[in-house]
Amino acid sequence: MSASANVEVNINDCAKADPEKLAAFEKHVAEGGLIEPNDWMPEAYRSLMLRMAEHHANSEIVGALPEGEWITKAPSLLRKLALTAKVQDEVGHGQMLYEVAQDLGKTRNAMLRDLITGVTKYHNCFNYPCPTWADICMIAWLIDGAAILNQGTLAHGSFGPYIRTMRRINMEEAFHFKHGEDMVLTLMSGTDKQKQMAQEAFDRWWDPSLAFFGPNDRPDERERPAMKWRMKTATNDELRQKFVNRFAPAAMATGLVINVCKKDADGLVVSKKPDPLLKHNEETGNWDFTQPDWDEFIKVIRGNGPCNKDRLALRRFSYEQGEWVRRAILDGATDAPCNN
Amino acid sequence: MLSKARTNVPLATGELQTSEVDAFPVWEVFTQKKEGDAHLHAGSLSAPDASFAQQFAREHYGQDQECVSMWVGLRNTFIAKDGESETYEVFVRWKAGGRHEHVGKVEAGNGAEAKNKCTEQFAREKEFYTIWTAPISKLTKIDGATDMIWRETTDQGYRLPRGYSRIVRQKWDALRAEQAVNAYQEEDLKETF
Amino acid sequence: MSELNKQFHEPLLNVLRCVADDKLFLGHRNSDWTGIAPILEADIAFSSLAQDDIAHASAFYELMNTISGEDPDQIAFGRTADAYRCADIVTKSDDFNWANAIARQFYCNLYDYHRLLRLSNCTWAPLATLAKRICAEQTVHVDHVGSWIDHLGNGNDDSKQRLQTALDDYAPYASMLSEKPDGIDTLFEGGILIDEGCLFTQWKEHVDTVLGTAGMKAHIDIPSARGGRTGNHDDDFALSLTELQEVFSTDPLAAW
Ligand SMILES: [Fe+2]
Ligand SMILES: [Fe+2]
Repeated sequence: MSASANVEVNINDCAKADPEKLAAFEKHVAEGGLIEPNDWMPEAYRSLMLRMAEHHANSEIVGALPEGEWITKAPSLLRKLALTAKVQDEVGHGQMLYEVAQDLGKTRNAMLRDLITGVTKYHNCFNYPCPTWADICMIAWLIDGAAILNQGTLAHGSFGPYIRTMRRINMEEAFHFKHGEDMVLTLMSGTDKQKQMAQEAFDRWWDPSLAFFGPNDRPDERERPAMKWRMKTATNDELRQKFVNRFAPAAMATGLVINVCKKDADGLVVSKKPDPLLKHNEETGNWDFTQPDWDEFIKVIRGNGPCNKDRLALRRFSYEQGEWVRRAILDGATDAPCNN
Repeated sequence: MLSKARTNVPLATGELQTSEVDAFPVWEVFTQKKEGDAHLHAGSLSAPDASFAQQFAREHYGQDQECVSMWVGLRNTFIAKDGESETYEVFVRWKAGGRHEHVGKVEAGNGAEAKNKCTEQFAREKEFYTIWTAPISKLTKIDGATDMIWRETTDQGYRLPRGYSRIVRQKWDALRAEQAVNAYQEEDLKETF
Repeated sequence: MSELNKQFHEPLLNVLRCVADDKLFLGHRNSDWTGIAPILEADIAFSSLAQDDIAHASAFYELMNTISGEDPDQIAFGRTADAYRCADIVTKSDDFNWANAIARQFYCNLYDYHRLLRLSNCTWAPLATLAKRICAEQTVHVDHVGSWIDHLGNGNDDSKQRLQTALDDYAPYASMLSEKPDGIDTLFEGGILIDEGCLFTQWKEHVDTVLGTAGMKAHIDIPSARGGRTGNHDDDFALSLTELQEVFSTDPLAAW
């Protein structure tokens, strides 16, 4: 990828994968090179990158819904400000990622419409309920903590616009995580009732946090396009292990117990026992743990989770209610730049 | 009780009831962190016109960190080769993965000439990746000195990680033995940056 | 507090309560749009302004704390309904209608701007300093909501009608913003605040000017009855307060 001022490359012309170009592309990526939208890329890279950015964007804006419900109930001025800012950041992440995806060839409208009609997916962990304030604390600590680990590796990917966005996003995730940590520590240093709230919420969110990193690795994980082309730089299981290594001892240090839970159709815990596998393994240096309930994970991902329908319904309602506004401001648009 | 805006949401499925509004044009946003720094590309956004583009830019890209000035322009403006004879702001992305950085101004008859002049004046010795140019008349410039962008009159610590580091450390210290704290904090946010 | 004579404490606290409660509840209602507004960029912007309002309220509660010693969170979250002094326009339900949210925002932002301008001339320095700082930020709000009025008012027939309806619906509530806070005359007489003539007129002129360029109009009058400013609130306020206090009230003495 040589220096080139505004070389406009027609992506479609390059779609007929050319073996020499492909070899050069793969060599460039393998050597740590970066790809910008106007560079030549295999069609499969482009569509995979588009899908990845779109799924990520979808997850950010659906992720804004469960936490958004608690903004008006946040129990102090600081929490109210911080939660509003956090949810706003997630919308901002969605906005920036939709811009990245849009530049790969799908309009934002098309993406929003596919999301609300169920054509495309978003992150599974947002299909679980948040019945208490403590759930908000756990999401910010565990899910944003998991997101930082994941996005930290994504920031070393191969696609320029995506990694630029990841770097920006991660600064904000650091605030989400720190605020989450503060909220969890506050509850765990609080009254017995607060500690109980925290434990119950932790029981609801530990499994979704483990599942956050996606299914177990396949044997050929590193040969698959996402890793070969450096869109991902760590496998799901590697990240999950890293997460447990950090968060299991931290959770226990706060006084939380890591349980294996059975949940009902509403996502609420019906029975639990301390994770029998949980211990620090001297040989591997890792923490051993019980895998999340993958059968349940698949059920939820297929649309039968406790909150799938509500999340999409609100997203859809918001989209439809906003239609007249989008139309009106386009009709009322003026075109002069305004130099103040 | 659910908050008001979120109650009575109908559980609709199937075809959407609304027709699609045309996409808004895309705008590029540059921010300057402090006096003397170069304007750096912050990101892009969609907006129907320049007036909303600058309103949206101010509240989005202008609120991430201290920001004393921002420039907003239509994406097409930056890559256009045509244009009028006037002063152009020029921006260089030095390498793939980087952000476009403002390097200076040139007088030019059109976008193509501005890009060439930029190469000669600012990037002759160095390798670079892409050049963007924008005629000054097509940029909306917001000056933080006269038009507030970054709000520093109230403490913004609530939405920055540093707003929590001290209090979090205190809470950990109160909660458990020092040794364990260190093991956990060693890894703290390493992956983030 | 240093130079502020004790006899002015309660009157000043009451004026600050009006300002801060307006901002708290306006921010409270507007923050509820985070994640569900009509356009992602507009969502982010509206949320940013809501955060400003809550932050401004916080700053005023902190100033109150320097007079009364009361904890800002306790002031914000810990009162019974009749002790809040906001005008009920701030909590009037927007029914998930963007035109309503913009109309409410418009009346309130402009009113706040003029009120802050006047508080900037307060002879008690801590308030004057704070009001000046916040007023600078308030201009951003006035600007932003002005763009919305302009675009919806000059948008299409549908948006013109929707915005005008919302402006009409909110007008009687907007009037209530200018109910005089108890104690303000004491502050005028004591020279703490400067009586600069009719705030209502100044605000109404500004409202009319902005709406005029957008082909919209508003019928706001000097309020005849007394409502929020005396702690006499409607049902929408009660709902908002219940929501605000939901978690806090499970244990008002706990740290959250
Ligand atoms: Fe995010
Ligand atoms: Fe986050």
